[in-house]
Amino acid sequence: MLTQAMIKELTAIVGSQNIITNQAGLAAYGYDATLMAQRPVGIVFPRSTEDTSALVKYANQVGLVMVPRGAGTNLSGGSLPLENSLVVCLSRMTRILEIDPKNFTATVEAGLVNFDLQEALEKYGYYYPPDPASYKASTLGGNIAECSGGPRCFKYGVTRDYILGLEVVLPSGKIIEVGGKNFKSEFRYDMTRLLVGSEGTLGLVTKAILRILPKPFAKRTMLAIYNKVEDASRTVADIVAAGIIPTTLEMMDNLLINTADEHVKLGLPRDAGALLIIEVDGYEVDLDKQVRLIEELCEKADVRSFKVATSQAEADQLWLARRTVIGSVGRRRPSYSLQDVTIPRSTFPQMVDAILACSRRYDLPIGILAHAGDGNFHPLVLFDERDASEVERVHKAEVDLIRDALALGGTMSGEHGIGVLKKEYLAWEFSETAIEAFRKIKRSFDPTAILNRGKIVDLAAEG
Amino acid sequence: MQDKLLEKLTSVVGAEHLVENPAQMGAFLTGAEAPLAVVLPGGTAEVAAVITLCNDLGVKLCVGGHTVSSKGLSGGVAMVLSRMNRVLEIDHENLVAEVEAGALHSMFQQQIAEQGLYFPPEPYGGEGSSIGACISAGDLDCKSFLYGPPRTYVLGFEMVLPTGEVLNCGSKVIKNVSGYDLIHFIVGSRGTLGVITKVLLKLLPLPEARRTIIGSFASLAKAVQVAQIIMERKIYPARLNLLNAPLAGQLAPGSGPIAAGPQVLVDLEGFQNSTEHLADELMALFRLEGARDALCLDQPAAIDDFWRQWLQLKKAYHDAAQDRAIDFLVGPAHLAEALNGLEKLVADLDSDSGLIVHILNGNLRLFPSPAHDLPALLQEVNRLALRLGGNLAGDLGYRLKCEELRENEMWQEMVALTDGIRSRFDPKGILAPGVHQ
Repeated sequence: MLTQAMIKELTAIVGSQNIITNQAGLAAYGYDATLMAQRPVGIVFPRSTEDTSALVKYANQVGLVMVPRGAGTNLSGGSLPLENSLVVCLSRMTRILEIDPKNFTATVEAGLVNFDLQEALEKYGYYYPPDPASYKASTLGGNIAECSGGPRCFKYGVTRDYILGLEVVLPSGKIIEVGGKNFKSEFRYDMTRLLVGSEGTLGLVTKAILRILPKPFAKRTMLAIYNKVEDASRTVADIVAAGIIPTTLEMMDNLLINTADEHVKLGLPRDAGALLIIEVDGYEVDLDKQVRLIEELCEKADVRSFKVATSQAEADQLWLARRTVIGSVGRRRPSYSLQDVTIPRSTFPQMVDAILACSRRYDLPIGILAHAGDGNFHPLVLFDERDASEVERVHKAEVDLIRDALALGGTMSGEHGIGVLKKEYLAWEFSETAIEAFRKIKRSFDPTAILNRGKIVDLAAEG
Repeated sequence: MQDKLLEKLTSVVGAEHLVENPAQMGAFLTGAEAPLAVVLPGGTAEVAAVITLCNDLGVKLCVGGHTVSSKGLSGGVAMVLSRMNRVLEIDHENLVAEVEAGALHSMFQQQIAEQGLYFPPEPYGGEGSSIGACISAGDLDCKSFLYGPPRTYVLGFEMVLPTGEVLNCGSKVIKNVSGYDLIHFIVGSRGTLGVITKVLLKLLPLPEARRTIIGSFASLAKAVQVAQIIMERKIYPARLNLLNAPLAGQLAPGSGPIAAGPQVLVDLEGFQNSTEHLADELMALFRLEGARDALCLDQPAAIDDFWRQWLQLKKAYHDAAQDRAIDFLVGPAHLAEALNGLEKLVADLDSDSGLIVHILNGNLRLFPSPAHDLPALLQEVNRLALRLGGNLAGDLGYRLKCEELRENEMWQEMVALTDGIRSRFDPKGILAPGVHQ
């Protein structure tokens, strides 16, 4: 609980419009996109870096643990408030400070929504490649905290590849700048890379300098429909082996084809085993040849039908189906669990088998969605949260899937992070030496763990 | 203590892999200071044993692929990883290679190229530099705009910590956000956090086609203008470099030197059709813009040979300049202004001094002739860079920027934070004594 004195002090920093302490408000900021929920003691919305620094300094004085938050769309509990935490919500710092297309940079505040940046860049013919499925809602600060991926990252990489510099409020309240507008601007260590993906445990990112790119001259969006998942995964391997790095290789299985089609009504064949959305971009003169080659490879893998979108509207429809597919499973069961296990591409068929086996083992429907080029799976385990026995089986299924991915030489998290959801499994993926290295990093920034305590790793009292 | 240390080191690596004769050690060292011995371990376990010995005794240790910097290493141990030079695996299905840190960068590139695969970063120190050095330095190169800096290609590593434990991170996956991102944080850590023994590298398919286009121009201003036209046409080659006349004159593309003057060098890599079109477009552009000479290389051997010359030239200038090279970045859009400003500061910019510009990164490397007073010139170049929204590269740039902007608190905080990380990894401060001083 915040005391009246604390509320008064916090209000003095951010203004009365930018603090919430009523119960309804606390509930509204107590959850993220996982099934977990907690009540914070309050929510404050800094308006500036100076506000943020003042808040952090005050929280240190009174010993309040802080949890950074953007739009709260994260999928690992990273922005979930734990035990008497104050939520520092950066969603009101939304300014675009500079767009400098000729130097390929944009400077933004952390609360800016990814989509809003994309819209602003569109005017210049530019874009910011990382585009997580949540990009219409999620903030760039949140994307940075989680090192978000997205469907384009097979060719273009993830958030870490597009952050040139950051302004950060440290857990002490001091402000630092790491990196800059140019590559090669780091002091001693690549602190920007360490902060990206640190899930708000090392500092509060208030501003970011992003790398932006001109939009590609041309692209082609293809839809390949298969009778069997195995055929689709053969195509994935063959395309890469042929020397083509598509921007996108997205896969959906039969269950998701059905829920997506019920939602978007594309007229997809409901009995198909899998589909691939394949997109290539580049110079116009190169693309037809690549499309022909991809078509040949699809045919070699017994594709049932292969189609190239003939208009932007048609391509957009496909993307709408892909981007909304996760929500569309709500037509089947009220709840879903979504993972982000990632495996070496060559083991794609084995991971598919493992997911199917898991579905049978626990008698749970599991939809398979994958960024197939990346080996990044999103198995969607469907269930009903009100059924305790199902919830227990879902938990077991999640654990099995993590073990399966690790056994295939993969990682438990390709894009959602560890947060609290996967913390207990960290020792399956990392040696004690590695986990101790994580603690060294955390201690260097935040020895008292006042920032997002209990996420990624716990600190024992520093000796 | 020295005899005992030498005896123990010998028992770890074997007498044939320990050098203690100063004359013989010279072949492995750069700089003037004299370590006690050079050791050449044969594997991770030996690396760990040597580090543990040094850590127990508080002896300084510095590591290199084939040569080691002796800075701060008097009485310490130099470790050379040249025996750990195997390419352990080339995995075509996952486009991944596992490589020992001492493997030669250029030989690795050649080996995978024969199998149709590509590792874009340029060798950090020319032909003789190792993969470990590339990752440890993590330096930007002129291909970083199109392909990303070296860290883009690091998927995992094995590193022996200063306290002797072996740290493994990463796997054959191209997306990994599990735990803190040590995978990329160690890139550029310059041997201060541990000794990298193996790396897991992401590869690309070898580009279908290549062309190299070289044009020489009447002046630096004209050359940079042409480079900017190329960018305005949204052409982003693998390399787009500008050299001043003295450097350009040392290159012999194809059948021999081309007309004197500052040069624009373009390395196109991509699919066949667009690469051919762009090569034609650039040749036409060079002629239209009054190039004194313009040349297109289309034979792989000639292209490789030319860029090998480029790497040698770059290395020769960096070696000769030592700490006198001034490396700064202003962004590609400000290059004309930066050159204009430099010409005012450096009267011999196109004669006795050397200049390399990585156009797409907006990066300039100046090799001032001995006529220039370096500290004064550094301050001036720093102001020029800051005025254009840029900075000098690396640690020096950060420090001078903080000084110029009177950001003393931030400067102290960054020193404390980075010192804190380093000392948590290396509590006795044994590794890489010459780095971050």
